[in-house]
Amino acid sequence: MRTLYLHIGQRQAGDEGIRSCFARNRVTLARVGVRYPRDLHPRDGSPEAAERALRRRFGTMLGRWSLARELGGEDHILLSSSALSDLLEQEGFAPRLSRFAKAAGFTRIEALIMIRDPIEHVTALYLDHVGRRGGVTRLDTAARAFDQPSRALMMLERCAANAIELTILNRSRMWGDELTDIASWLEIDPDVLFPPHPSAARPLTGVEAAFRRALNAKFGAANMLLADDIQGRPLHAPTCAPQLSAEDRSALIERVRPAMEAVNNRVGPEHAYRFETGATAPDAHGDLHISRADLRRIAQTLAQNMRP
Amino acid sequence: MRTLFLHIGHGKTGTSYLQSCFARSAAALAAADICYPAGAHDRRAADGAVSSGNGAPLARGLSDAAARARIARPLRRRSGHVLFSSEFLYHHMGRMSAPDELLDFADRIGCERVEILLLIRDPLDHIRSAYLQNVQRSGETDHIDAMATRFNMPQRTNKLVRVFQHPSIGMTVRNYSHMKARLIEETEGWLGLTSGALDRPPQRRINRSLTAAEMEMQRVFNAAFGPSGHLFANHVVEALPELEPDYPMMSASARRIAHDRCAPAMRRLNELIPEDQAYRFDLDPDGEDEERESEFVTLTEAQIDAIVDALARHIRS
Repeated sequence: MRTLYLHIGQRQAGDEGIRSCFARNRVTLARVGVRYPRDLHPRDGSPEAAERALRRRFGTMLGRWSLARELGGEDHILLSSSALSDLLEQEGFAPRLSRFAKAAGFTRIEALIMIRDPIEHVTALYLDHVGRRGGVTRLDTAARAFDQPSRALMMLERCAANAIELTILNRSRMWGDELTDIASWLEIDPDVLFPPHPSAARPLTGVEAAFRRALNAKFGAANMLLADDIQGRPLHAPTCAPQLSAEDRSALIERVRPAMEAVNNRVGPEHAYRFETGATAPDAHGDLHISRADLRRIAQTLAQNMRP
Repeated sequence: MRTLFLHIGHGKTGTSYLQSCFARSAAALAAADICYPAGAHDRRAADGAVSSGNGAPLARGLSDAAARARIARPLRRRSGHVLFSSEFLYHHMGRMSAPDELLDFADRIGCERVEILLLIRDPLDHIRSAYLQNVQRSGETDHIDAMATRFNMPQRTNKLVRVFQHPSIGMTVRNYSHMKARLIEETEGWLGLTSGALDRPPQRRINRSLTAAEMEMQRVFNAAFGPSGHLFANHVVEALPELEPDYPMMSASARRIAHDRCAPAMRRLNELIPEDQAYRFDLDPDGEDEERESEFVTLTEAQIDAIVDALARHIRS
């Protein structure tokens, strides 16, 4: 059965690690009959480049027609992009996708969506937003707009209505087991896959994220001002990620609870959303903590970019 | 009897707060027949910004007869009392060996008496606050222990008080460490005003000291650029006056050295001032022999926004 495998995302739910794994295993996957097209997934693995490539091809009838011709053959095809989730949210795209798959000679579509428990997920999205996309939104504001469970539910319903098999895996349950789950989804032996390269960059601390956000507000994307190499260096003393207040955490969970419950009804308990608000986390109402040494490093980085 | 009132500081004893009150209270002072000649930054002081009062020209004039005469000229024609306030007065008076120039000025403006308000502060309290100010304004990069071992305010204050002992000069010494909550009321009493006469500025705190996080960052900038409080610390302190400062920790050995240096002068000055205003030096705060500095510091989002807002104009974008 020739299969079109679609890794849909969601953003900041392990999608970049998975994409890195696919890119690293391109040759290995080809050997077991799964093609991960190079021109749709540039070697540098940058998510933005992959998204642009897929949007261009899938976004128009002509694009889909030419893509169907390119992807013809006998091997299975693997595509991976968060753009697929944006496209699937568009009315009418799922039926077009089914028609495309048929035209390209696929007999089935297997989609994979990675979800993540909401508190972890909104924090990861916030750090990506201020750390790499020049964002200026605060964490509490991001929490009020967070809607990933609703989007996951929409994917679920659209896929079900268009005979697209959907696998949902919860990143929050998978630390260390990703390779096995991915191989299982691709129906291949996990031992043939190389694990992804570990990320050189650690997540931003709450203080670093707040500085980055404030610098973004002044200068646009401020990656070079509070240089990315800060994330390549270990912390002198571990500090916590940005924290929502207890009140904001509870409000977030209650707002997305209906969508979480609907998704949980259709996934196994192993990957279901959990509803904990993080009761042991401190109520970080506005205060951010950092070691003196790590704060001095931030100051030194800023000083290097100053001309007083 | 026309009186020349001098509030002379010293530093880190609520001087800016008092000067803000004076600047806002011209009408109340005038009603009590006290003239507060306008200072260069009185409008900012009235709004709670950092200022240096109206006494800086007088302070310089204490060693310059011509300058003294120029300052005295417009005041000679007035009736009533005159009030000057400046920490520079403490510094200049501290270098004098006799009160003659001060008495000369009082005479030129027709004042028969001089009343001086001198605010002191317990040494440990003062060292911590002064150290943070040095980091903010003077490019300090050393640990606080270095400052503690060279601290000599009780010695300087003791000398000043003794030099200005004179029948025509009254010296009111108050210890800011013991009465900071009643600073305005004590000052009103010193000026002979009724309680509540002086207009308090809207912020609770003016010219606050730095938080631990601000201090760490400013020391880095001091190491890179020299005195550089203008880069961000001054801005943050004015933008967020209500933040609680963090007082830096001294080692037990530094406290002992500071105590041994200051003890003789403290004893001699304590002989001249009321017991409830006397210097105290607690060698063993909180019963702990060694103060331990926390490895971690705290920042708020508002603080980071204010820091970046101040730095932005200096950043190469």
